[in-house]
Amino acid sequence: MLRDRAAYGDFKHPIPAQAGIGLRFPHLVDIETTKPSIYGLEIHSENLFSLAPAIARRLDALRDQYWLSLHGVGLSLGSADGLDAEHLRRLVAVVDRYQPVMVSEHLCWNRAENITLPDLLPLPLTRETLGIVAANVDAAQTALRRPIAVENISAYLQYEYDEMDEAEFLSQVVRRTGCKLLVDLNNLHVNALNFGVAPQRFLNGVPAHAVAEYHLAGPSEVGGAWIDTHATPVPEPVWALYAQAVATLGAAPTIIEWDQDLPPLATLVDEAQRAQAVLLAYANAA
Amino acid sequence: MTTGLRQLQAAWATALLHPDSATAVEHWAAGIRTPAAGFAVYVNSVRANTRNALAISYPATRALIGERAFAKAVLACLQTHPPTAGDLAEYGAAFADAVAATVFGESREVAHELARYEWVLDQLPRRPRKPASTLAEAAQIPAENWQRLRLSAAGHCAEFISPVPVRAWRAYLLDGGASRPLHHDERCLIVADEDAGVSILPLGAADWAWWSEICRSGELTAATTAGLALESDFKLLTLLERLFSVGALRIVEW
Repeated sequence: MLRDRAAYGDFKHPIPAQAGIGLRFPHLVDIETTKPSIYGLEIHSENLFSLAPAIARRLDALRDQYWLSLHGVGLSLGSADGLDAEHLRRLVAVVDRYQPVMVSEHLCWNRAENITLPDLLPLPLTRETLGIVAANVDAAQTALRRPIAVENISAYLQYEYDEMDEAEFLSQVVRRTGCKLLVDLNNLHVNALNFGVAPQRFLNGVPAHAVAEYHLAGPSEVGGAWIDTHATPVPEPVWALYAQAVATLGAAPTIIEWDQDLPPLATLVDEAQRAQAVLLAYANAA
Repeated sequence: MTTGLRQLQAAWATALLHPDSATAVEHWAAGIRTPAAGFAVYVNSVRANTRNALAISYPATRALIGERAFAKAVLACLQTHPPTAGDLAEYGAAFADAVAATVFGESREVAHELARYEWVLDQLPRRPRKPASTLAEAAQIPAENWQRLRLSAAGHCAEFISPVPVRAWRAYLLDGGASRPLHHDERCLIVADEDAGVSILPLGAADWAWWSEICRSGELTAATTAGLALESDFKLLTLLERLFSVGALRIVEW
């Protein structure tokens, strides 16, 4: 299963450690007109599957100023039925069309028996699951002709029969497939709040060389549980985790995510600039 | 791939879509720590994500029937026709049927038909777009060749028949002001264009027969015969002008 990086052609880590934001279409006009001082834009891959040509041309224009990465929510890397061939075909098409600097997906599943559940559902961390995820990641990377980054998720329940923790599971996926990692600090924070999972244990457990990107976002408390809503500012504990992550794993491109109760663009830009300051401080110290 | 994970995922799917089924939830919960709290999060999340996606496709239907009825219809749609693909923007073809089955009261008569209409509008830009010809190009064709002229639908076109009166939400008419009502059984052609937006062209019976024949055979002569069979004063040039002006026609050969 171990895949030589040369198998993906001449793909190299293409961007320096810089901060950007998740592009949500209500902000598109503001970004075009104000040209905010950030470095990158990340778009949900599925939003590009059937994008109107006029919007696609506007994205092309933005790529002159910002790097573009794609972040998928629907490939279902943990599906026991394997990858959906049509979904993968469309993902390959948008990657070929937009040539993003990075492509990422989640360590989760959402498809079974030809039903797609619109959520990021948790996987039991077993050897069986590891084999399935590694096969699916390998299939995706082969089709895309590049490594993808796999993101840790927030979960709202745990399986009693887990055979390893998330860091070990992801390390094994990296070892078997040569994939990259996208470390979401808010997801670590949410899992710590809900289950007492120590974030530092995760940061110490994943291979630093594989970390290709960080995500920062804000959670919400609903009925006593913390939910990864992407509806609030990045909280201070997540900023602290981010600094720890950069110190432990090194600097990497960083995206501010905000999906619900979308604030003005300036709010996201401020947070991206704060992340950029963390990256700069790390670079200066190094 | 072994069956353990496959069975677990099948149990998840059944339980999340039918959380009121004690058997399904009990089956799903085996081997999960504190399942009750986590289960509620996932049930709510699946429903909310589906509702948010359908709210984008069906804004007028949602406004007409209200939040509570909309949520009820979303749940019916989710349970009877769950998504099969990862792109939720293309989910919801069966929503009008769910509205018809769940919405009662004053709006029932029109709500499901409005939903059908909104679905056509919403999905139109996602259809493959064929390049359109212009009226100026058509005017270049020598008169003696018009009998051999073949045309096809172009742009993003969809036919729509309104079984009940609905207002042309989110659309405008090139030949009729900002919006106008569509009357009972009125037939129209909906055309989406990147530059012009969405246009709605109400078509009379003869116009509709002409358009149907163009979509079937592409032959101008046959289509015109079909139009004249319904209306002796069928106005071909007026119809061509309207259709070319919104980018709905392509000249195939002449």
